[in-house]
Parts: sequence; structure tokens; C-alpha cells
Amino acid sequence: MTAIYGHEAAPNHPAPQQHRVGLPALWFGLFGAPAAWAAQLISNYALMSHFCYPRDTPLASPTFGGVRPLAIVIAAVLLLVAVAALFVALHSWNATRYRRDSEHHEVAEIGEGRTRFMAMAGILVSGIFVYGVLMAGIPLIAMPVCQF
Amino acid sequence: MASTTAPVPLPERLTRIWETAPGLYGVLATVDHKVIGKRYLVTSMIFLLLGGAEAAVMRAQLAHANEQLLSPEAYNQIFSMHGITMIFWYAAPVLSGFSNYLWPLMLGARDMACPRANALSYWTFLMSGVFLYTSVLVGAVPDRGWFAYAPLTEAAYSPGLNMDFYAIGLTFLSVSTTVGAVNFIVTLFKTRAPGLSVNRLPIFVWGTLTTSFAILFAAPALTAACVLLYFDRRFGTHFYDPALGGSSLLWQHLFWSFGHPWVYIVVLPAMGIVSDLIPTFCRRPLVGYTLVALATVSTGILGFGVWVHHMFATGINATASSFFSAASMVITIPSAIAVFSWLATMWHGRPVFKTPMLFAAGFIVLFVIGGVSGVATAANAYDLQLTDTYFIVAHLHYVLIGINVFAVMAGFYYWLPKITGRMLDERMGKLNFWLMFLGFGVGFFPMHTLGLLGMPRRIYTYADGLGWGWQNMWITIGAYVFALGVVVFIVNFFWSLVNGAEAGSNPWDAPTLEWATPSPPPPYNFARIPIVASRHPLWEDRINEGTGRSVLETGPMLDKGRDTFGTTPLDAEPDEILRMPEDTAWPFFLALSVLVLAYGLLFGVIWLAAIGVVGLFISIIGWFMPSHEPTLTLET
Repeated sequence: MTAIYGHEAAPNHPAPQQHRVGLPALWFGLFGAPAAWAAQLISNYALMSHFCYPRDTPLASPTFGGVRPLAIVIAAVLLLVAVAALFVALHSWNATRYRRDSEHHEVAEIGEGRTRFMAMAGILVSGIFVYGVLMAGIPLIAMPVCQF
Repeated sequence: MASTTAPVPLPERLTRIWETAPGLYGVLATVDHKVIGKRYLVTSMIFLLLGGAEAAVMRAQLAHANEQLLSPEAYNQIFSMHGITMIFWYAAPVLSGFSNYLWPLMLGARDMACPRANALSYWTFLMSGVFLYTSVLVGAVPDRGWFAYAPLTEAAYSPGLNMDFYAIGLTFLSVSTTVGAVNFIVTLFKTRAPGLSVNRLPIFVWGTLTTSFAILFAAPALTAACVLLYFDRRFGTHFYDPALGGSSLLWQHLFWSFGHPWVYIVVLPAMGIVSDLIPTFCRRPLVGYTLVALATVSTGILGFGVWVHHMFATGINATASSFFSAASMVITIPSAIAVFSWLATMWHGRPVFKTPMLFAAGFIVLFVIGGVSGVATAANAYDLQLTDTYFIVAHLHYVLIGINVFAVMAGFYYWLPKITGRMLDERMGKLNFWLMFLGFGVGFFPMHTLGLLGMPRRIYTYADGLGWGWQNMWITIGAYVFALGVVVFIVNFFWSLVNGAEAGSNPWDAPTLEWATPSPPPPYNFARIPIVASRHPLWEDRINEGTGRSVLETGPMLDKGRDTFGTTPLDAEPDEILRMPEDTAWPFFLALSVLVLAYGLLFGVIWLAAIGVVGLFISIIGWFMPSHEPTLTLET
């Protein structure tokens, strides 16, 4: 702790539980799922575009027959990464559940420390992007590979 | 007898250190974030008025069928400049104005982390705007829309200087946005007050931080697109020419992979404005702070995965485009989180409908309507029916006016008392709101039905007997009522500068740090650097937040020079004292050099471009000339 917090009437450290959860876990919980979603979007778009519209002519069927299984495997792996990020965020949140910064109970409303904030943020972000990965997976199953 | 000198009081000492020199040198050399912020606000509002005047002329042309007020060529120029001005030179810069002015005050710092870069950001913004509008003087105004679809912009189809102004002007502007974005990011992670950890930031700060990262990823795509366009037009390359191996869709991919994130760039800080002022007028903290903060970040990320929904009608693979359709629907989740948080805050609080709150409430209504029409166009099949109709015009104006302009107006009524020291008049404020809100509804809602009836966008007139005439007249009347509301705001602003009641430091009894400073704040912002204990430093006793209390009156002085704390990125622990740079005119000369370079490239005059390049290098050398002032350490 730096001297500044030794000031008279100075506040407590903003991250009193930083020792309970490491930063890598917090960052993975926060950005693991968005990274998985971005990778899925790019790979899906690249695969479908490349094998269905290789040059100037749109095709009725892809030039590589295994494109759908390949895309589904990639989506499944990335879904696992996103779900893992969600669980890591949940774990971080549980690991910091004893801390309350005030009499208020609303974790989302009044601050409860930076560590718990990042953990909760990870839950929210991972939840949204797990859903995003699932949504982007629907066309892989429900639509023809090449449709114009 | 030895004479003793009375010690100079702290505010006076700090004023001497931080104030800008008077005269022309001070005008050109100031790096004070408050001055730069005010300049951003005024300049962007001038661009708003220019874009608004263009819109007024367009609406006069469209009020009747077969109207001949404008020729097709003039209409093309005016609707192009309206879009370019509003989207690039008003919507984002006005938010940069608020951020520049407010960030150091909200963060408990004495200036932005890179004050000279901040000045450069403003000067390049101003000069790129001057560059764009000199197209009027030479009669070569950009005329292919703000989206500038290739190959219509290629030299074969657009032979004048018109689209060169566009390509060079936007490249010029991207210098400003990129420099500004870097400055915001560094400021956030380096110069917050001790204790102001990331979980205690105002939502407005989250909004601007998210957009700053978005700019770093999005702006290069536009710059690349414009540079390639310039190469095609001037050097005979064929990047966008399908006949010779290029691709016209390349423009659309580059443009929209920039363009859609840009939509969030111009709305997320605006949403932050509303998120921060609603608690003040509801007398309670924002419900779901963490959710709103991270919904902001999530929206910024998702915003990069939706650009193809602008291209559903281009003939690309429907399966491939459906991934973007899915992403466009997912983005409704964080938006809904924000809306429900605002509503819950109002529901659980005691709303006081002063003018800023009225604009915030109006913003929520328009946000929801614009959001719903956005979800509609996210559906691939539905979008194919609506593409290039007035439905899209309605949607984009609900988003850009509803979410940006209404929030900006709310921000002006909320923070102008801090900036000028005078309250705006409430009666004129309410009149201002109702004229804008009702005018907007009358003017823009019927565009939905016009679009569904099949009226295409970007047409300069239409035939009689299609059933569009009375609705267009209705829209024009609404647009003029809306414009009258803007006029009332301008009158209110100037009237209040002279006659407005004195604001005092915290006229709204607001919770965040900027309200701990006098109105207007002194050049040094805080006489003593605050030590922050909570998200609402000025409401701590009232809401019993946190276990400690913020230190606002007795914190460190840092009065030996232009000093502010350097703090750690997450927890804002002080780890160094930063000696901030002195005022300098080099950023101005650097921007001026870029302007000269831009004209050299525009007219193809090599020696003029060379002068610009030389000026640019001289300015950089002068800028980075080392200072020999001693710096402090935490120990001293």
C-alpha cells in the first residue's frame, strides 16, 4: 500500500480481495468469451465466403464438402472456450463473495471492490458472448452452406 | 531589518503554474483540457448548425412533389455534406468535447495525460473541417453520399475534386480521432486520482473509454478505404474496379467495418451522459452500475461484428451474412440492460424533471424506438425489403438524433453550469425540449411509413400521385419545429451567459468529482488532489457507501510545477508524479502543416505538399525538444 492511503481519514484499498483471485483469471473471465465469439464470427464468415464464392461466381454448393463439419467443430471448440470463461468468472465471483464494502446489498449498484467488480463483469460479458456464439452457430445447422 | 514575504496562497500558486498566457500565443499554445473541450463543443455545434441548415434545405426540396428548389446535382451535394458533417464533424467531436472538458475533472486529475496531443487532436479536427468546407469555395462539394460507394466514386464516374475532398478530408480527420482516442486511453489508465479504481468510474467515462478503443480498431479501416480511393482516382490503381481485378465490395467492407462501430462511437458516451445524470435527478445511485458499465463494453465489442448487416442487399452469401444478423440481434441484450437500468433507477428514485432529466427521458423513448427498428433491419429477409427506403432514414435518425443529440442536449443543460458558472433558464429549457421532442416525432416517425410505402432514400424529388406528398410536408414541418428548438437552445445559452443565476460548485447536488470544483473550475482543477473512496464521492455520507470516506479538502497539493499523479491502471494507486508539459504552439503548427499537405495532395501540387511535410517534421522536432525542468518523485 502506498503512503497516500496513510492519509488521515483515507479510504481503504479499492481492491481488498485482490489476493483471492489472480489477474489472469479475471481477465480471462472478462475477455475469453468475446475473443471466442470474434474468432467464430471471422472463421464462419471466411469459410462460407471462400468456399461458396471463391472468385467472381457464386456457387450452389461449396468447393470443399467438409466445410460445414469443419465450421461446427470450430464453433464447438470456441463455445467451450466461452463457457470456460463464464465458469472462471463465476468462480472468481464466488471466491470474493465474503466482501461487502458497505451495508448495501446491491452488488451491481454500490461498489464492493475492484476484484468482485471484475468478476461480476466477467459473468455478464461471458453470458452475453456465450449466447452470441450459440446464435452464430444456428445458421451452421439450420441453413444450406451456400445460399444466395 | 530583513523583510519577510507572505507566502503565496495555494490557489494563486497553482494558478500561476497552470494558467495559459494571454494574447494570441495563449490562444494557439494552450493545452488546458477545459479550453480544448470548450473549443470542441463550440466547433462541433457550428458543424451541427451547418449540417442542420443543409437538412432544412433538403426538407424544403422534399416538401412537395416535383419541387424544383434544388437541381439533382445540388441535392446530391447537400445530402452528402449533411451526412458527412453530422456523422464525422459533429456527432463524435461533440462527445470528445464533453470528454475533454470533463474527464480530468471526473478523474480527479489536473489535465489529460497527453495535453499537447490533446491540442493536436483539436487543431486537426478544426482544420480538417475547414478543408472539407473549402470544397464549397471551389465548387467541388462531395456529392456521392457520406457512404461514398465505389465504383460511383471512381474518377471515371466522379471526375471533379469532389470526392478527393472526401477522401483526403476523412483521412485528415482520422488523425484527430486516433490521437484523441490514444489520449483518452492513456489518461484513463494513468492519471486517475488515487483510489479511483475501475469499479468507481462514472459510466460516461466507461462510454468514452470503450469508444476510444473502438476508434483505434475502426478508424484504420476508413483511412485505408480513403487512401485506396485516392490511389484509384489519382494514380490509376484499381482497388475498387471489378473490371481490372478490383472489387467494389472491398469499399463497402472497409467502410462498414468502420461505419458500424462508428455508430456505437457516437452513442456510447451519449448513453454514458444519460447514465450519469439520471441518478442525480432521481436522488439515488444507478441501478445495476456494473451491468451498465459492462453492457457498454459489450456493445462496443459486438459493434465490430455487425457491419455486414449494411450489406445484406449486395448479393453476398445469405448463410455468411446470417452470422452478422445473429450478432445484430445479440447486441440488443446490452442495450436492453441499459434501458432497464435507467427505468429501474427512475422507478426506485424520486425523479425531478428539470430540463436535463427531460432530455434524458426523451432520449430513452427515442432509444427504444430506434432500437426496435434496428432489430427489424437486423433480420436479413426483412432488411431486403427495407434497404434504401425511408424506413432506414427514420431508423438512423432515431439512433443518431435520439441517442446522440438528445443526450448531448441533456449534457449541455447538466454541465454548462459547471463550464460557464451560470444556470441555463429552465422555462426556455423546457420549451427547448418540447419543441425538439415533438418536432422530432412529427418529423421523423412518418419516415417509417413512407419507407414501408416504398419511398426510396437519396432521391431529390418524387412524382405526384404516389401518396407521399402530405407525409413529406408533415415531415418538413416537424423538422422545422425541431430546428426551432435548437434555436431556443442557442438563445438560452447566450441569454444565460449574461442573466443566468450563479451555479455554485454543485447546483444539482450531484455525486461525482467534477462537482467538487468551483464553477467554472480554475486552471488547475483541484487545489488538492482528491483521494477517492467510493463511486459517489459527494454522496458518501448520504448513502453510507463504503467503509472509508473520500478526502477532498486535505489531499496532496503538488504545487511545485505542472504535476499530477501517475496511478496504476486498475486500482489507481499512485506510483509516480507526472510533470505535465508546458503550453506550446507546435501542435497548432503541426496541424497547419497537415492542412498544407492536404491541399498539396488535393490539387496535385508537389511543392505545396513538400512544404507541408517539411513543416510537419519541424513541428515534431519543436514539440519533442527536451525540457530540463526537474521532476518530482513520490518520495519528495
